[in-house]
Amino acid sequence: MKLRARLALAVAATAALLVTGWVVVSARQRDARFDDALREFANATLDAGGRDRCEADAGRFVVHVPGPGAIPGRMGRGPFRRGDDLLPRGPRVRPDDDGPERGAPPRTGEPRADGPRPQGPGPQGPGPMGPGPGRPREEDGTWLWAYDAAFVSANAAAPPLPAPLRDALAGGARTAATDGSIGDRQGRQVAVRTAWPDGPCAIVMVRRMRPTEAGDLSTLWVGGLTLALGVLGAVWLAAGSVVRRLRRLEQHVGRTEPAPGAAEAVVEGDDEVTSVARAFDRAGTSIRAHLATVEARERTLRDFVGNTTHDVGTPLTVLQAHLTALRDQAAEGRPADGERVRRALEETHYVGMLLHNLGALARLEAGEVHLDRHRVDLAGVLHRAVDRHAPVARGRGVALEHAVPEGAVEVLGDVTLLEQAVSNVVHNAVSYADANVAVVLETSGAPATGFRLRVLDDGPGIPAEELARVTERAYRGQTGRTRRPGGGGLGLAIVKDVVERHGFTLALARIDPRGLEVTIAGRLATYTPVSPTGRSRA
Amino acid sequence: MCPRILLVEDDRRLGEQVVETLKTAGHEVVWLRDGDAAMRTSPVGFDLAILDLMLPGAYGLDVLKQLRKTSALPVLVLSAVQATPDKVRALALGADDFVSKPFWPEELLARIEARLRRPEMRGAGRVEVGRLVLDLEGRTVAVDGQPVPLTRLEFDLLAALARKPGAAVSRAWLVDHVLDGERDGADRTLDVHVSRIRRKLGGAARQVATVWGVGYRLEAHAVAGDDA
Repeated sequence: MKLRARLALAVAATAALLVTGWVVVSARQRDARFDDALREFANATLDAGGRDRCEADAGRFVVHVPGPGAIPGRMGRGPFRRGDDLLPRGPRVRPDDDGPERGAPPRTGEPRADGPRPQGPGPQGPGPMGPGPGRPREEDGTWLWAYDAAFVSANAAAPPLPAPLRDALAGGARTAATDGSIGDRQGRQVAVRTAWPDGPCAIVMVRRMRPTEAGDLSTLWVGGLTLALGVLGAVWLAAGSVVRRLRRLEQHVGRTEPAPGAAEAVVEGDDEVTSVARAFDRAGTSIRAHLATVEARERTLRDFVGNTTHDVGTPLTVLQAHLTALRDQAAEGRPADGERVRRALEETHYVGMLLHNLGALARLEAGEVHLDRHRVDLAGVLHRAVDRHAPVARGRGVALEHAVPEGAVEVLGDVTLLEQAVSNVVHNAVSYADANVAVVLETSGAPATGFRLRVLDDGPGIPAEELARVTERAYRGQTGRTRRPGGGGLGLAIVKDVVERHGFTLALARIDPRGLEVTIAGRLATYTPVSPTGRSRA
Repeated sequence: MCPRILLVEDDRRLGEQVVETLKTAGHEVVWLRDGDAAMRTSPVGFDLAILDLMLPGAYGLDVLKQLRKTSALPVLVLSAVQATPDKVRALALGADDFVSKPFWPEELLARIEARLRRPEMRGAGRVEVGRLVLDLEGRTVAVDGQPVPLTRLEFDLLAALARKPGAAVSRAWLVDHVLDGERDGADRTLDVHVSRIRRKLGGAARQVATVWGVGYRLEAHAVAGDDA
C-alpha cells in the first residue's frame, strides 16, 4: 500500500471512530438532560397542586401540556441553558418568559392543576379520559400520568407503566427512564416516585416525544465528517509533499552517476526526508570512494596482466626460436651452437625472474603494508641470490664474486621479498656487466649495528639524469621498449618498494670510470629474547 | 665415498632431472615419491635430504618435523611457494636452506655443496692452501716447505684470507679487522701490504687473487693473469 493511501486510511478510520464516539456521547448527554427536564416537570407539576388534584380525582387525573415547546418549569435553567437548542420551543412557551425559579406557578401553556380535569391551554384540551379520538393525540406535547405503588393507574385511560420502569422502581430506584413508542414515534418516558407512596399518586410517569433532534444529530454527523474530511485532506496534502520529495530522491538515487551531495539538494527542506537524503549522500560518497580504489586496483592489475603477458610472451617466443634452431641443428647432425644454448638458458632465467617478481609484486600490490618480519640471515640471502645468477654470469663470461663477513648478519624482514630484491639487483648487474660483478655484504659499527649490501658492476652504468628515475615502475630507460632485466622494468621498482618497507635505504651511484654501484643499507636485528613459544617476534 | 642424498619429490620430471643432476655431480641418490614413504624412511646413512614442501600424502613440513625428531641431517627445502610463512616455518622446523623453483641445476648443486662443506672444521691451527702452509698458532708461513718471513700485519692479513680459502674477503673487512686503527689511506695501505706479501710468497704469489669490487681471496691454485 502506498504511503499516502496508508496515511489516509489511518486518518479516515480514526476520524470515523472519533465522530461516532462524539455522536454517541452527545446523544447520551441529550437523553440525560431530557430525562432531567421530564423529572423536573413531574416535580414541578406535583408541587404546583398536582398532588391535590391527583388524590382528589385519581380516576381522571392526567396533565397534558400540548405542543412541541419547552418543558414547563424546566427551561431556561442555568445548567440547562444549553438544552435550549436541544428542546425546541413551542410557539407559546418561551423560556425567556419563563420564571427561572423552581416551583414557579404554572403559566400559560403550563399544566393547570386547578381542577379534576386535566386541562391545558392547547388548541385541543384533553378530555377527561386523556388522549383519545377528538382529543389531543398521544404524540402531542407532554403527558403526566399517576400510578399507585402497585404500578396501577386509577385513570383507565393511562397507559400501562412500561416494564423497564416497573422493574427499575420495584428494584428500589427513585426514578427511572426508558425509551418507548408513543403512537408511531419514539418517545421518552420517565417515572418518578413521589413523596406519597400510599395514595394513587405514588408514582408519576411523564411521557413526551423526543425533541425533533434528527437535525441536530445530522448536524453533528455532518460537522464531524466535515472535520474528518478536512483532516484527511490536510494529511493528504502534507503527505503529498513528502511523497513528492521521496520520489525525487528515488529518481536521484536511481541515476547512474549522481553528483556527490546532490540528494540533499534534491529533496530540499530540513526534516527526516532530508536526513535520509543526507545518509544517501554519505553512503554514495563512501561507495564511490571505495569503487574508485577498487577500480584503480583493477586497472593496475589489468595493466599488469597485459604487460606481464607481453613480458612473458616475448622471452618464451625467443626461447622457442632458440630451441627450434637447436632441434634443426641436431637433425642435421651439426653440433649444438653453444652461444644459442646460452641465450636460450638466459631466456628461461628471465622468465623465472619474472615469475618471482610477479609473486613479490602481487604481495606488494595487495597492500601488505605491515610485513611479517622474522630474523633473516642476509648472508644466506646473498649466497642464494649469487648462486641463482651464477650460471647466467658464467654463460656471459661475467665474474660474479661475493664476500660476506664472518658470523651471522641478521635483519628483521620478509625473507622472500628481501631475497627477491637482492636477486633483482644482482640480476641487473649480471645483465649489464662487461666482465665483473661484485656482491659485498659488510657490517658497520663495533659491535655491528648496521649492514651495507653493495652490488657493483662494470657495465655502462646509468646516466646521472636517469639515476633517480630507474626505480620508477615500468621505467625502461632511454632504450624504450627494450626490456630490462628483472622483468618489464619491475626489478628496481620492486627493490625500492621492498627496501623502503623494511626501513632500509637504497642508493644508486655511478662508478668511475664505468659501472654502477647499488647499495642497500639498514639496521641489523638486535637480539630479542626468545618468547616462551620458541619464536622471537620483533 | 660419495655423498648419499635423500630426495623427496613427487613430480616425476623434476625428480628425474634432479636425480640426473646429482648423479652427474657424483652423488648417490635415493628418490622417494611421496611424503608417507619419506615418513617411513630412516635418515640414517644419508648426508643430506632434499625435500619438496608440496607433497602428496604427508605435507613436506610434517616430514621435516618427523625427521628432526631423530636426526640432524642437513635438509634443503625445495619450494615453489612464494609465501614467506612457509619458508619461515621450514627454517623454524629445522630446515637448513631452501631453493625456490624454478632453479638451475648448478644453483641446486651450489646449495648442496655449501651444506656438505659446512661440517668441515678448518683453521684448527694449520691451514694448507695450494703451495702455502700456514701455522696459525705458530704464526709461520711456508711455500713449498720453505718458510717465508712475514711481518705481524702481513701474517694477519694472509691468515684472514687463509681462514676462508677460496672465498673473497672484502677490503672493508680486512681494513677493519687487520689494519686496526689505520683509517687514513687504509685502502692504499692494504694494497701495499698485499703487494709485499705477494713479493715474499714468490712462486705462490698468484694464489693471492685480487677480486674485482670485493677485495682479495686466497686461491688453491695460482690465478692466471692476476698481476702480483
